[in-house]
Amino acid sequence: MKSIIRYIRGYYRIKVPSRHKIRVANILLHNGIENWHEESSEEGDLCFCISEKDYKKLLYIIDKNGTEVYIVYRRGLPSVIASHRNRAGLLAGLFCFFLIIILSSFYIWDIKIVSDTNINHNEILANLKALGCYEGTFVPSLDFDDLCIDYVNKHDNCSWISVNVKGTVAEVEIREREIYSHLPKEVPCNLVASHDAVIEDFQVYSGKSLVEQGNVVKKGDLLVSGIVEKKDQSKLRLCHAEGEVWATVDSELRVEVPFDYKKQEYTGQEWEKRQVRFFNFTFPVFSTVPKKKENCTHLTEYGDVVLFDEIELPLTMEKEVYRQYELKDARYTKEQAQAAAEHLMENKFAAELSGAQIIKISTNESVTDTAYILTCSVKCRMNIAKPVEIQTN
Amino acid sequence: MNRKKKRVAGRLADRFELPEGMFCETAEASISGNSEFCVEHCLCILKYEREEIWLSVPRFTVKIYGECLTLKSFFLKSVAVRGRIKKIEYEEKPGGKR
Repeated sequence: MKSIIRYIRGYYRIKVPSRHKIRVANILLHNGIENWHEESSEEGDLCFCISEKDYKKLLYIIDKNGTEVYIVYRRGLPSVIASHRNRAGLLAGLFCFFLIIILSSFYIWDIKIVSDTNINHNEILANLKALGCYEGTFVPSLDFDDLCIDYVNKHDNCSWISVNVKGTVAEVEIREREIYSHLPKEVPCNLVASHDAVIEDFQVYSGKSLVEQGNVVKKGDLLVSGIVEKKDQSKLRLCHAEGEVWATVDSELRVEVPFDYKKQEYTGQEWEKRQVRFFNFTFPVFSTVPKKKENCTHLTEYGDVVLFDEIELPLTMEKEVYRQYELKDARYTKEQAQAAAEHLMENKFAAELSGAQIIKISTNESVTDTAYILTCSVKCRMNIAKPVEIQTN
Repeated sequence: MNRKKKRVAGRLADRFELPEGMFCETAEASISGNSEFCVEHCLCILKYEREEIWLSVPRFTVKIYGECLTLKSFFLKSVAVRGRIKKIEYEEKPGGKR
């Protein structure tokens, strides 16, 4: 630490001939002049370092005595500045460098989504861009509180979002909304049965219940009404019915996979397009993509430009690959058709019986000349309440 | 007057079992092996050679003999001598002169 301070203040290395060294040593001793790195040469000369300020003091004293001292060298920040005094370009460059660094810290260089979310990252970035937050945005011009509120209000799939600017990187934390009802709370609605079922249990949070335990309901039957009477029974009012109606459901899911299908086969023809994106500007680098292209798949890869594995530049390399394909007639074997049917059945299960507690399940397969058919009979317990908007016009 | 002060300081130091340097200015010296010799309250440097360094301290002249002797620090009346020290001599100044 001491040596850093000495460097900043600047210091001299002084050489005193042997005939004067006792006098100079005594001057230093009596005048409280700090010195360091003292050395005696073979010839008896005394060498030491003193600060620039003390050197002036020493010179003032020894001038009176006629003592000789010699400067061996001058070191420290003042000497560096003095030696570069005439290099205006260097100073201007340094000034520009720091100015650019400071100015660049006012812009968003990169947006990173740090939360583990199922929402597509590109979708989030596009939504933020629509609200004025994108690479190259001037940070002081953004009100991040308003941005987050606007985002949540405009996008139903998000329940909470936070944008934190760390240096030049905007870190986005986002939480998905668990959608129980697709309808906003202010919209009046009824709850109807989503499946044919036998009601086991129900809880109504708002609205008027129209069913009881043990009732048999058909798909579309009204379970909870959103039309309720006022307390004085004078008028009716509309409300957003909310509740859970748990029922035993017998459902049959059917999947049919035809043996003959169209297969997508790549021809080997491939086109590439590369471009560099800097903030909001895109610069094409090269492209082999023809203007007319049909039956192509399109894939875009994004790569950040990183210096020394540490410094992330606000440059993005975009690589677009177009691969041509042709549709050919193909035929599944029985095993392939079965695998495809099972995959489709899984998706259908997730879509239609999501959140259901399975009580009993049985499967049946049948093969015709043209298709493989997989049927699944399921007995389960699930919430069958489905909100349906009340049309008021 | 000076002698009287020193006598009083000596008595106080004896009574309170404290170093005499706490009551009046006397040289305080410390030696680290035979390579370093430090003196506080050094008045001036009388001789500075590679084999011989003489220091003036209150009441004494300290003579240090050895090889490759150098003054490593001479700042705020504190002097450090480094080198191969062979002999240290205390020579009382005539009449207890400072």
